[in-house]
Amino acid sequence: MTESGPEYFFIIASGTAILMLLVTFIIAFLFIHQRKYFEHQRKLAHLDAKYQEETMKAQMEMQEKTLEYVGRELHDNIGQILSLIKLNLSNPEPEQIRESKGLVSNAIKDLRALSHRMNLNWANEISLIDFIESEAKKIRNIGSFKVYFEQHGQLSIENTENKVVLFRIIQECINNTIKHSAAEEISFTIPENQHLVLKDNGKGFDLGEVERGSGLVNLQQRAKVIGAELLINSKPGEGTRIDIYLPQNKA
Amino acid sequence: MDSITLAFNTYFSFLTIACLLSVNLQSKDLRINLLRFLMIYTFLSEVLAVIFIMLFQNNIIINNIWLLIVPALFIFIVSSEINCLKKPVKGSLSIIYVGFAILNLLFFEGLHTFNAYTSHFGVLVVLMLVFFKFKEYFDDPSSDIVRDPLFYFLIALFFFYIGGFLVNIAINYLIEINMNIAVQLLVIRNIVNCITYSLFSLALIIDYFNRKKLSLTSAT
Repeated sequence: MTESGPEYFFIIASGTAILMLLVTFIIAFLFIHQRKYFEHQRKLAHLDAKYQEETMKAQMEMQEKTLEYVGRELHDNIGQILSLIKLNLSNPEPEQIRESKGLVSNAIKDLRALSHRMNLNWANEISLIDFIESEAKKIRNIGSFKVYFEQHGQLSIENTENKVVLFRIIQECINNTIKHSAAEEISFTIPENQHLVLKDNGKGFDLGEVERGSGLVNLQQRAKVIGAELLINSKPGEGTRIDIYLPQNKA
Repeated sequence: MDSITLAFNTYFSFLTIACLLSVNLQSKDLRINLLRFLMIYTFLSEVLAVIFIMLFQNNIIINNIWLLIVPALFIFIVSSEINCLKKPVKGSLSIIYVGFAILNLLFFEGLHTFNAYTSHFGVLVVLMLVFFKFKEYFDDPSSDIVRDPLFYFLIALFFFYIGGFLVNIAINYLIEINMNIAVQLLVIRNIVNCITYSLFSLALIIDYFNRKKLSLTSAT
């Protein structure tokens, strides 16, 4: 077997050249894709930070409103009662003392009521629709998504604690959309009473591939706790739709 | 030992390592399990091919049966991962390939001649699917391809089919001119095979570490 000659070297050289070409293609592909991947990760982190910032801003606003409310209550109600007590005590007749006792009891009752209202005050103050609109506004403020809000029905939930859980569910859905969907459009629709639809036109995912114990299962369990039903519908390349059915109010 | 024997032995060592990994690294992922089956099957085919050569001076039958099964599974694995293809298309590609291979085996080239038509048809379909998937990877910056076993599987197919295709063309061309050089090209074919089975093994190892990481995350 002859292993020399120009043909042999030509074959070896062209084989090596083709192999190098294929390797270069793969390396170039990997290099460009990794650059895009890191850029995407950076953009996601930025979007997440911006959303957190908007949430913080909203929380601060809410806190300011609450403080304003507390200040007003203290000044207009408890402050007035204390002034009256002071007036009564400047002339300590038995009648005035009895009246002052009654005023002190009123002041204590009002303070207790104020403190109780303060705990879940922010959730009481805001309606579900207003909350969803404010979340939509926050996402719009990020500037990377087209956000739509459409309302054809009403949403309500009985207990304030349940309302807070529902707020958290909606926020988590939004967070997931921002972080993972790579969507351009996000829509919030209330097609009928007690039915909320969150939809995006992102890359979607295969529901069959989602591991048990993941965030989505957790969301569904939390919804069940408050008597709601959360349905997730997604296919790769076709975006994601989340339907939240709230419990019907007892008439 | 001449260069062809050396190259074949090296390839056989790589294939044995890949086969051992396939036996040991179990997975819940269907595509990884298919890949494990393919590597074990290829190893057994190669062993059987050596025995056939010793007994009958010819191992074409083993090659033709390998050509009937393995590319069909490659097509199934890759097509099931491509989002832009509709489900009926994904399902029918492997069936069309197997149908074509059986027809060729029974009526055209036959069992005792190397099924070149089937081989080239398989090359075209697999390469088309590989390029589709590469395009999808390229358009989706959110996928972490370095940790995706399928990416290594695709690179392996890319080398195996482009390399194998070019080598086959060169062999067919050179047989007319210089038989000795044509035979020497088998060295390049075995180098391509080594790259292919190393990458398949890498895909298995990455899948194993991904699952290990996932189970650690779940535990915490």
